[in-house]
Amino acid sequence: MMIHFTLNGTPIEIDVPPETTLLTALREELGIFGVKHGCETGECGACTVLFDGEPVNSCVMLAVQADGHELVTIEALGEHPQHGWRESKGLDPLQQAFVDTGAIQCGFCTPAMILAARSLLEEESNPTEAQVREVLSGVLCRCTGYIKPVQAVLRAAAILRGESVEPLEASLPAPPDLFFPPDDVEDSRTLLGSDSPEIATQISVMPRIQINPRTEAYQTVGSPEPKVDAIKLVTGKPAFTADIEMRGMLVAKVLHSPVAHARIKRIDASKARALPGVAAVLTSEDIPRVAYSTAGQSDPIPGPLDTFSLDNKVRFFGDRVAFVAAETEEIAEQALHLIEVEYEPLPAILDSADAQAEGAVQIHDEPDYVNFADSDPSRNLAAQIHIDIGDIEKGFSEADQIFEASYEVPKVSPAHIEPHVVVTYWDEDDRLVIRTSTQVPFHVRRQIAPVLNLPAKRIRVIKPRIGGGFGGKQEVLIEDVAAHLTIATGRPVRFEFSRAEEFYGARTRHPMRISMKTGVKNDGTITANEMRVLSDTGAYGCHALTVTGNTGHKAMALYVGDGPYRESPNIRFYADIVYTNTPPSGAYRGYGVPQGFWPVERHMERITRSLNLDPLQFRLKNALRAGELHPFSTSWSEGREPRPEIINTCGLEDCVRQGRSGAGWDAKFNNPEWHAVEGKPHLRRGIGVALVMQGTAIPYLDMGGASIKINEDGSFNLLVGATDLGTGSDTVLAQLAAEVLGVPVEDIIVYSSDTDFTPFDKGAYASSTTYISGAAVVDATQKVAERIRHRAARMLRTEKEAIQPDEIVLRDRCAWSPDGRSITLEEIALNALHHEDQEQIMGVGSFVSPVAPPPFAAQFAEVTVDVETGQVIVDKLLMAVDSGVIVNPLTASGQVEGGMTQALGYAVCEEMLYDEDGRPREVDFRDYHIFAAHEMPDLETIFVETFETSHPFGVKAVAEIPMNGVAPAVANAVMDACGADVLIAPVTPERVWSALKSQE
Amino acid sequence: MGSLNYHRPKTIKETLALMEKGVPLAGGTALTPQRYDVAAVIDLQDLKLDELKVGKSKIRIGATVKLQALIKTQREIPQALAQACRQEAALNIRNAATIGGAVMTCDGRSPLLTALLALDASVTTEPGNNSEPLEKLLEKRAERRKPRLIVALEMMPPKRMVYEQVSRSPADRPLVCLAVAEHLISQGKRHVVAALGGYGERPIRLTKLEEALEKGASIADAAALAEKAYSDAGDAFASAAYRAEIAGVLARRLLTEVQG
Repeated sequence: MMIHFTLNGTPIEIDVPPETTLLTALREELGIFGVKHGCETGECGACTVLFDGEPVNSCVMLAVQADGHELVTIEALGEHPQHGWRESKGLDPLQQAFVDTGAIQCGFCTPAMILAARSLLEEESNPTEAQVREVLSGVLCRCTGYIKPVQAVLRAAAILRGESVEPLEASLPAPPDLFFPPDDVEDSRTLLGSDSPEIATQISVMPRIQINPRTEAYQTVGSPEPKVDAIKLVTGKPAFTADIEMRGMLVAKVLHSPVAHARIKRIDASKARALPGVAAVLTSEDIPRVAYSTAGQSDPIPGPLDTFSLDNKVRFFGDRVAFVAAETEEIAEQALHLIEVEYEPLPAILDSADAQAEGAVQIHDEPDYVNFADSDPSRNLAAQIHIDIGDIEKGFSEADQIFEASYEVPKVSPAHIEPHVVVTYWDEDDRLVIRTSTQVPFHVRRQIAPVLNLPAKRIRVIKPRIGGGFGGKQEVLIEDVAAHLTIATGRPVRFEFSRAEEFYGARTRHPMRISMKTGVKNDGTITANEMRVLSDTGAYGCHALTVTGNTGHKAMALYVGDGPYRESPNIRFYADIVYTNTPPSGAYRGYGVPQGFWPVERHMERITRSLNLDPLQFRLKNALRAGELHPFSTSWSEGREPRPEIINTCGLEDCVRQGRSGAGWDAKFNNPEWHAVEGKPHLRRGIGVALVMQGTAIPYLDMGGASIKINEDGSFNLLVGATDLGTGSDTVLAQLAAEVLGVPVEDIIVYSSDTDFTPFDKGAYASSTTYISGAAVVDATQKVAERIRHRAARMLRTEKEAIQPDEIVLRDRCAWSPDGRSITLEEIALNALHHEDQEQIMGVGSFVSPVAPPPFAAQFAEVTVDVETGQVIVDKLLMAVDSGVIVNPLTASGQVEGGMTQALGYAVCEEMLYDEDGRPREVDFRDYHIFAAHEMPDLETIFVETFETSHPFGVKAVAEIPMNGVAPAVANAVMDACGADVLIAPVTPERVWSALKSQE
Repeated sequence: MGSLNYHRPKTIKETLALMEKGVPLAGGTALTPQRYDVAAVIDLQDLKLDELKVGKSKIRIGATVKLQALIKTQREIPQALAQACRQEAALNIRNAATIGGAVMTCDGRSPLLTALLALDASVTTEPGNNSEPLEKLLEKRAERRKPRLIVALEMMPPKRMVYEQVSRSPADRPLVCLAVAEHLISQGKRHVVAALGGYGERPIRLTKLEEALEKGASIADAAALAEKAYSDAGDAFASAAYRAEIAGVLARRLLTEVQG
């Protein structure tokens, strides 16, 4: 059907079938890749376009509806400021503000947010924060927590009004001591208005930082540098996996199981294969049967090999049955309906408590199952962990009181807005290219090679820009689907999950049932602490051992006890990780640790209240400190040999001090007046806290690599195997290189990552990139710096005086001699590459750590509880965190804000449930609610810097720890508000109501 | 699954002639994901059904009035209706979704339908320019044999109206929601209309509660009737016991507020 509309001011005429969505027409017919696919039901807003000036979702609009209308996409706005001889119009003020304020993380939703904001600013030049949040409410962002996008819009509005705005660096506070009194809290996040007469609008995006004095000499490290990939993301460039056009590319679809557990008795794909436009249909009979694990982990995989690309058995509703490749998505869908499958139903285990019952059906009865460690498929056991530290029974016998309780945490989805997506094709050398949105490109190549019966050297994995991952893409999840179909057809194939498939076909956080038993003396000394876990890995054992191991390894390591117990803690951690007929669990930000801190911190709160102890003092009295042995380090290390680790740095006391001040704890806790809401007796306020820790990488295992070379103009190409999944790691790695070389970040051209070109890196997980990959970058860059100094020393020497290379200082794009003379890096590069004793100045570096230095944090929550309905409104979340040295306060605080927001969902609303047949309750963002911009609580981040001596720039992890303490802090705040003692997360209105009922 | 036919008629008459062949397409937010299940869609955008008239004695909302257009006129329409509209969906959806589409597709967890029921809205349909209560239309929504086109909703502006919901987060879909409107009828007499949502295929009108109030029942007794109305309203999101008690709590609160 021929339709006409105006697109970005240009009349367009296209011929589309009426069933084509506007999103598909824009992307596939017109190559407008700034419009993204995140769902098919209009909830995520990634596909936003301005339709006659208003933001609408193009995925739920037919292209034919646009006939006669005006459309605007991100492509209509600004452009890169440098376009050679052609004068560039530069970035739009909104785009520039998103860059400046750090409002871009993965960037997948950024074009949508900017378009929505533009619609507001065209109507209202001086919007309130509430108006900005309202206009952004149609665009879900899983990365940012919305603070920085909101501030970006306010900043852009001020600039467009002709006002001056505060420079970002100016708002960076420096004093190492307490930097604001408790009564200053209300003014700490002023958005508009300023004391300075010169600055009309004050925009606050910078976190507060208690700066470590060792960082004061740094030029680039510690600076709020704009992201190196910001411009391409803010202009909607085709940076993501699906943003590619290839001649003859097929669309793949998967037939999913409609039952939770069954054998496939018969499968007939003949009708599907006969459908015109279908290029291939594959069943288990058509491809090799290779047992593997989808968990993207280092070799050897620390888990059972229990997965097959396609099998003759299905183990959960949504499991794979067949693959289809067709000319169009519609034909592929049609073909799925033509595949005839006869299932022999088997009993399904939907509750982890039933998995090991006598007579329970065996979910993995295949003979080619490959065990790892204590996995035992005959007992539906994917993994088992028994860790005893000290003498737990002696510890209990020495306690004055024993506290026991059981807790539960739910299955939840990472819910990255960009779905899993992959494009595969044969290149001109008949090597298989896998262009995929993955956190682990090198693991993908290694792990998929045997599945495809291809040598790894015949595979090239390219990781383009990732639209969020959060652990969900630490999985070799869908690459095999497209790859099998490319092998079958010889043609390029694109496979992209729908949002529903993300819910029933991707990986989730492990749901767990946890029992705690803690011995405590009356003075608050913990004498023994025991956790027993029943963890549900779902139908496959990917990450089963390691996720649940970290539940104990991190959460049970924090409270070692005091006095003699601090010297020799008594800790027990036992876990059974069982198979059920539900979608597989896997990696998700926090990697088992949020599951552990829910029971630990709920339990600590109950103990402190029972013993009438100060919650903060009780926790600090028993918490791990610097100089002490990580209690689990000699017992467990992700299925590998454990080795002792000493905690070098622990800023926990300062985190509590700063957080206590920032949260106004002393004015609120135990203050009856603060707890009451005037005129509303059914509302009660509460404040809660949780102390948490995490790890930084896996010691003696996680390896990062980098290479860097100088170019003729004195710029550098930095190639890293690390994968920036939106965290800003490419920027942070560039900052580290720039600091070593004395150049601005703009002189570092980062490329990440491609298994053919970039050095190996294990990938983005375990909170390791800044620490592991960053140290690799520093290692490589120091080698380059050394060669530059050598050459500079030679170039600067005089007849009178020789200069030693170690006397050369690199600063301001120059090499400086001790007598103040300098030559530019460009001169050095030209000298090295063209003029004299030519050489390529280049360095390759790698890093593996003997320790996994934990970040520590104090997380505070304030809530208002409706004691009649159980409804909880979270009013504020504050996190004071020791993540070592902060390389980039904008990206780091973005990590904390986004992490707290995901954790907020874990606290109050995110939960995946299944009916009695194993069908999911949640298949879209309507029922699986994630927080939107207009419903967010106040978020505040405080960094307490320590200098971690195992890293050249003193960094530790920041990405995962924000997930750990929000849920228990919220539940503890609910308990503080009204006494409701909720043991099962999330804290839903009904659970609060039930807890209140149980008190009556 | 087959090729979809698309029509964009210019008149009601033309539209009605097409109704046997396909289904009306308003904003498309609900229908587009289901497009493979229908043979044809009839795009209503050229029918000029997007007029919103707010008079002293009647509010008339054209079927293709966007939900966001209602919010933009929130100073003229009952605040609680605008509030429910805002709770119904995020901005991007509200910019496309229409009130007619909402009437035909929203389920029991719809704040907007709950509010419209409390406003005692009537639905005008073609052919025949017939008017029927929204409540009746919702009851037989799924089983309508003869296709009819919604052209407008009409309601009396209430003297006062309130809406409240309980949900897992502020913008989440309600587990329980209640809308109560107080209407002035002849000779200064007041009539309370209440609708309960958060469960099932559609929100329900609390007719027994309304009748009890007419007969002078106390707020506590009326609230008990709201509670009873949800005594079987259990699903995967909330138990019946919870929904029932919260229905009672909200009824007590809102009736107190309305009756002041």
